[in-house]
Amino acid sequence: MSAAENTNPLTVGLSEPVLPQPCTLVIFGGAGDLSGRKLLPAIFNLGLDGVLPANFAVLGFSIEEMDDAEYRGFARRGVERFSRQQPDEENWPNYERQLFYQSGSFDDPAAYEALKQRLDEIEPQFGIPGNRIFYLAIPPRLIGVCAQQLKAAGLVQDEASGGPFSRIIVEKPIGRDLQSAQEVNEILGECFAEPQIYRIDHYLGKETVQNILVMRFGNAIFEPLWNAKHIDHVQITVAEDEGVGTRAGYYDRAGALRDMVQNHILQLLSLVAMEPPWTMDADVIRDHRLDVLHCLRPLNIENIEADVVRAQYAHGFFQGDDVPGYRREEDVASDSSTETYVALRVFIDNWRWAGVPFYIRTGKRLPKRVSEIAVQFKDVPHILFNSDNDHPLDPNVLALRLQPDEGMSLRIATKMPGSRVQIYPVKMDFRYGSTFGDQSPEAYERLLLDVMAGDATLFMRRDAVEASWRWIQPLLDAWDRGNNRWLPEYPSSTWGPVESDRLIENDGRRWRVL
Amino acid sequence: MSEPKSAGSSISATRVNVADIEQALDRLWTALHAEEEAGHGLTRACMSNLIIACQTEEQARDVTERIPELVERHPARVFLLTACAPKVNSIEAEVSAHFRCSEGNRQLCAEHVDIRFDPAVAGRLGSVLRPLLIGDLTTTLWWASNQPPPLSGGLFDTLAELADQVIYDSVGWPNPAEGVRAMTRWVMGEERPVFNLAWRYLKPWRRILAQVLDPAVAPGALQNIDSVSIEHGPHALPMAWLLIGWLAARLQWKPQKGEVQSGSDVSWAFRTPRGDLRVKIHRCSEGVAQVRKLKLAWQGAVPGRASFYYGDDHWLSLLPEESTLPATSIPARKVPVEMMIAAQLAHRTKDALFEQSIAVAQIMAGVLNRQSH
Repeated sequence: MSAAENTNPLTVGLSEPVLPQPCTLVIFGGAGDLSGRKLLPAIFNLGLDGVLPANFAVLGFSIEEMDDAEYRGFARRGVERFSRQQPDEENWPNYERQLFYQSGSFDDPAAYEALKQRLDEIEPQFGIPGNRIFYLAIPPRLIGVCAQQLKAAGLVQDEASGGPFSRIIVEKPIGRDLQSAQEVNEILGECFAEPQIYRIDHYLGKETVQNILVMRFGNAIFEPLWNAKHIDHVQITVAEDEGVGTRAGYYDRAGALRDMVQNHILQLLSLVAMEPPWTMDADVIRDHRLDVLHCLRPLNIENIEADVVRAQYAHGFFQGDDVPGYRREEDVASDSSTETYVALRVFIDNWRWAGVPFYIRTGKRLPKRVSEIAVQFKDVPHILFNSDNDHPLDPNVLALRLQPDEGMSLRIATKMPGSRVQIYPVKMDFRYGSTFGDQSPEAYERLLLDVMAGDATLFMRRDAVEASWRWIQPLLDAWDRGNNRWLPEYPSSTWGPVESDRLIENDGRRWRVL
Repeated sequence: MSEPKSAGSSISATRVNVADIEQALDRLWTALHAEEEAGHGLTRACMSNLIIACQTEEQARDVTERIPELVERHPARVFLLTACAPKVNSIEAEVSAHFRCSEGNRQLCAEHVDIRFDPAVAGRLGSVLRPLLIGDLTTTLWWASNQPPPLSGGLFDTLAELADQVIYDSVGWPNPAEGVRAMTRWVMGEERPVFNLAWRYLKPWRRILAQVLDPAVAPGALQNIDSVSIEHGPHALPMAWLLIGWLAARLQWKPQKGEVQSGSDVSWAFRTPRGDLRVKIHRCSEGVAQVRKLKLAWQGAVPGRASFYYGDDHWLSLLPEESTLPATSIPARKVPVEMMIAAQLAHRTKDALFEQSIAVAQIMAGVLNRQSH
């Protein structure tokens, strides 16, 4: 076929922002929790919204014995419980006819032969030209073996061949330290070319996170102020109200630093702090995000003491109910030193951010589930309206809420009506939900669609993953060395330990009350 | 995003003098504030001015029912203009408001101004509306009449002059050929975005054709199509016409001649880069105003055919018994007009693809010779 015949002029202008290509989505761990809660509902919603490729199928692949009918039942239960749109007799048949299941062990070469055979049976039924996406919704330790088995079974097409594509989606965490992340990436790199690898961080699929770039570079009023000259400090909060719950097995080996900071929060920080990209090309944006990680002031033995606080939640009350402390949780060792809370003071040593502290805090069993990036601007000069040192004006704060009510607010000072000058802070609040009144797609929907379209903008590249681990590593090492040290505690449903308050109050600032 | 489902509500209309509309809206705003409990706030979100033009009371009633949902999705100051019987001989106005409740707070979604006018004084409407448009926001004209806008006398020109964007719907036009010619001429001379709702109705069709005929799925099909036939429901000829216009624009088909063969059949001959192509459009006597069926065939190294059907279940399906391609379906749910309008209000750039498509549609109209029967 000529090059002209390979192009499809009908796709032009058809779908914003991306047009997914015909493909089969193979979900490793297809019968697992992530699949049932997030992936299958996301695919259902994409189908109902009419944005899935017309030639599309899903093949679940897991150790559990199940046939196609049982898998469709599993999917239906997940969709009914977790989907933003509900199945009915009209839409469900069109969805479930695309669902298939293959059981097998992830380390068994015969299972991959069977998988390949099943794909060869399914794809012609749906007119799928051999494009395949392998979603590894499995424990991190299995990533390497699955990638190697896929390669060995001939299920990975050479990206440069111009034939059908093979893409792999990998869930965080990639490794548990720099060395293990490098090992995982090395194995992935031996089996897939980097452009075929999509390291997913679902935070990057959230509307507000994507809106950070629009807000910064689509509005003339913010970017001129977005630097050390005008910004006093930035606070990034990712708070969860729940305890460790059923994830204790994973969490006790990970902790808040690995679970949240190394991936989600550093990605948020890099979006807030990056320089303007000259194009929306995926690699250009990712290069700019990476630059921020390279500029993070290294953690070392001197500044860790002053700039980092870790803690564990203790017994307390959550919504009026008695809840145990972390070490009393099921499947958590009674002498565990895993942090459930971490606060950091971070500096980005570049021209734009010189001297501006970024305060980060994340934890479990905090008073509410809320994620926010707050940019606090510098005080106006202490003259005119701000001349009373006992009652300084509240500084302007631009807050970007990621959850639960995605949106942003800006605090400004305004005069109260009356004959005297009384200044009052007013919050101008914008909520996606109330302004646009529509249910936005879940992050997984956007991200799955991006993979089908080959758009890697919202995914993490190998160098970024390793750069973030490289920055975190001295902290992990320091904590390993002092493993038996006493860990501060905070009562459940409070905003963290007093040490965390001191971390920011020593600088004359305070954590925001959310 | 998991915003709690809000409860929308409206404030009943108050009749006001045309000169007092702005003050009446201010009073509405103040009264709503006064009703708020301590600690709860009333906020106003407003993204657009929206002028809606109706030429009958029936159209106005239909649109009125759609406004609350529309403004919940796209908060706007709305002007609903309704032409009334000549006896009115005046311009009358009523103001009301729509708001939504969320977590104890009310958010004003729309200030709603109903204006009923005698067509004889339509030329004065610009002077009524201009001072009421909120500055800094874009103004959109939704032409809700089923008359092709340029053929509706001076009203359209008066209102379009105020607008940054025009939305219309070619489905239901009484004389599609004349409407296509007139509207295309108007659109081609416009710098503003112009949007035809029929174009939106076609989106699932465009999607399934693009995906099923993709070279990776059906190699060589797109370049070698030699026949297309379409069946549509009553009033949907402009849609079918536009669909062919889109295919022709994208695949470089040149209209050569066309004929109306009967009251329900139209055909065109096209020249394509690979040869000749015949297009037939047939109107079914009943059914929804939609493109119901599309069949096409292609030659080349791998000849084939595909037949698509718009089902009562609102799914677009490839019929396996009439196709050489694997069966597939995509949803083609009927999106309520108010949701389409709300979505379109946020688009403020011209749609080059639509304009290319109607440009071909206009050439198709130009080569169409009605034969006497």
